[in-house]
Amino acid sequence: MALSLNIHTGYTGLVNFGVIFFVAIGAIVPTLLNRVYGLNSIVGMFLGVLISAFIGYLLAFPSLKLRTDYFAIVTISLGAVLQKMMVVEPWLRTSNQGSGISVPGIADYQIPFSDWWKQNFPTIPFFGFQALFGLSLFLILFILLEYLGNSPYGRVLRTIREDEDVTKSYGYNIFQYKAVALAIGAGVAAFAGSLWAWELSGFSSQFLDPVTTTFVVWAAFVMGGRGNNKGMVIGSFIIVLTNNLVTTVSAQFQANSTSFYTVIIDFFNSIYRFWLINIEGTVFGNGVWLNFFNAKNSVSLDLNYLQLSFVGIVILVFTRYFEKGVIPELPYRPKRKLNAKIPLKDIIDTSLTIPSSEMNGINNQQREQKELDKDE
Amino acid sequence: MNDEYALEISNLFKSYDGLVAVNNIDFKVKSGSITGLIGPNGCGKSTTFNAITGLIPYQRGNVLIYGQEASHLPSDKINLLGLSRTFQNTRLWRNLTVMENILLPPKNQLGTRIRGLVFPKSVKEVEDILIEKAYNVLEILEIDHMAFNKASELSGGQSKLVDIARVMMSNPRVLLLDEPVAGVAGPLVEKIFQQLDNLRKITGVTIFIIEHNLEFILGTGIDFVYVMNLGKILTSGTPEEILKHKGVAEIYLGY
Repeated sequence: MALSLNIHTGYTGLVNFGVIFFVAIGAIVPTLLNRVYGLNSIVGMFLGVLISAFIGYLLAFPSLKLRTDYFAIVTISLGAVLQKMMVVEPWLRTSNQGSGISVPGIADYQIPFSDWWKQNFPTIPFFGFQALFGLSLFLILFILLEYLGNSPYGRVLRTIREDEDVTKSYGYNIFQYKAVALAIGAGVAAFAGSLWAWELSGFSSQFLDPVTTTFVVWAAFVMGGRGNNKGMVIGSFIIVLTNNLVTTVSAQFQANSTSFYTVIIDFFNSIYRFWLINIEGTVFGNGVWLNFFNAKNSVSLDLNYLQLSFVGIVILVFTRYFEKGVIPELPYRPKRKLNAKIPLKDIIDTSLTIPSSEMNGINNQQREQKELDKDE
Repeated sequence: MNDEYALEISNLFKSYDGLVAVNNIDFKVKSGSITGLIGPNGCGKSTTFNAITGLIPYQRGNVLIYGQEASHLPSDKINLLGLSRTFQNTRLWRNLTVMENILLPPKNQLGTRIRGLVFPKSVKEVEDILIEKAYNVLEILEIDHMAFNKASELSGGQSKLVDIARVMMSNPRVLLLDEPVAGVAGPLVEKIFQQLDNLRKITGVTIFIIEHNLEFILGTGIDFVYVMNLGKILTSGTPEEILKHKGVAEIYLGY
């Protein structure tokens, strides 16, 4: 997901807060196709990527004329619309278990390869295959994106980020470039979404919560450094590890209350208690904590919030000490190979100019006029 | 096709919300010449430039580039007609290296198309030749040692030079230079004008320069000068005629 954001914002400079929209498309399309039409999930996955890319391309037409900040708002609202749709529409929703009604929910779609794997390698858990398969797909994607970013095409995208007016005045149709970048990024996001749905084997609308997804993706983006795919991977790893660390600590705490983890949790709880009772309590009165907790001893942290604030702290630290991300964008420094002296006459080749009559899409009126002249 | 004039502007009119910036001006730039457009600050020189290059919309006017209709076209199409420009406040792509900055302008690069991604080998060949050309251009302007610096690390004069290198790489037929030597060190100014003159003689490129410093533009082998004041063309002529003209002295020296 961070890789997709890198194409949108890191290379092209389109601020996209709606990554989750494309991710969700990538997750929903293969699962729905599988449930309703019994289509193979791998085929569905590629279809999902294509559909998402197409939607990304279409999104360019109404929204790209907007300024950066308004474009961001459009993308936020897209994500929100989709989330609400998932809450309201039963056929998009996930868990139909227990409801007794057989709707094509997303939860129990056929996971690709799972039967095949269980037949051939019954001893190894299916999860291992998932991880390997996902990782190899991801590596292919990573190599492709690196190639794209370092190609002259990626260079055009980066100049659009820097100053699109100038890029335009050097003869590049920036709208086309932005639209294609949106499409590619949307495809990558959908790819991530399909892998995710696969891993979770279904999801709920909370899964698309902007706080825990879009925000976390942006965090990885900021930490990794824009315009650099390697940075994206490292940033994502840091965020996911932080997230998982807190999750493990809290899970262990609930499972085994005498373990080492209790010490950590108690430590945070004591800080929280001190803050709430001794500081906020004395300033604002004891109602601050009495409304929520009955006694002083039962004042404790909700670990889910602790998790988010942990991620926040990590982001703060990284933005303080790595202003341009862990791995900043690499400048392009080509070596001179030929060492030839090229005469000025060959450098400026004026014959490359395109006559206006041959340009497509413009001056149709004029062309018609010319044809009229010919007839006369 | 009429090749006598590189640029023909007629009845160009531009107003910003009722404030008239350019008031029905007409002028022609002979192909293969160096032509200047001078005038005090705020007289509409840059607005004229921006209107011609499609950067800002304008209310009325006809623009012909080498006899081809170019009125009201977007700036990318104008560039494909062979017109390249520099900007008054040099707008380089700041977070890219100088090299990247000047590798982008050449037209018809396979690598900048989406289908170029499928032919990495031929893209690489084109790129090697372009890099070589880029080094030659940088050597001409004596900034080849800056090739790997980021554009944001350059001084004002150096970025002006990179900007000139950038338009030279874009295979132009007409160059529009917006104050190309503002902030460039004295001896280099002469060299730049020599190179521009050279460029014009060898390749036949037409050069159209904006400058508000009278001495710069009149002291260097310029062919023809238009003087603008308050959105109108005040007078035109060879540099000698301009120096003798009374009105020019009036707007520049205030008497």
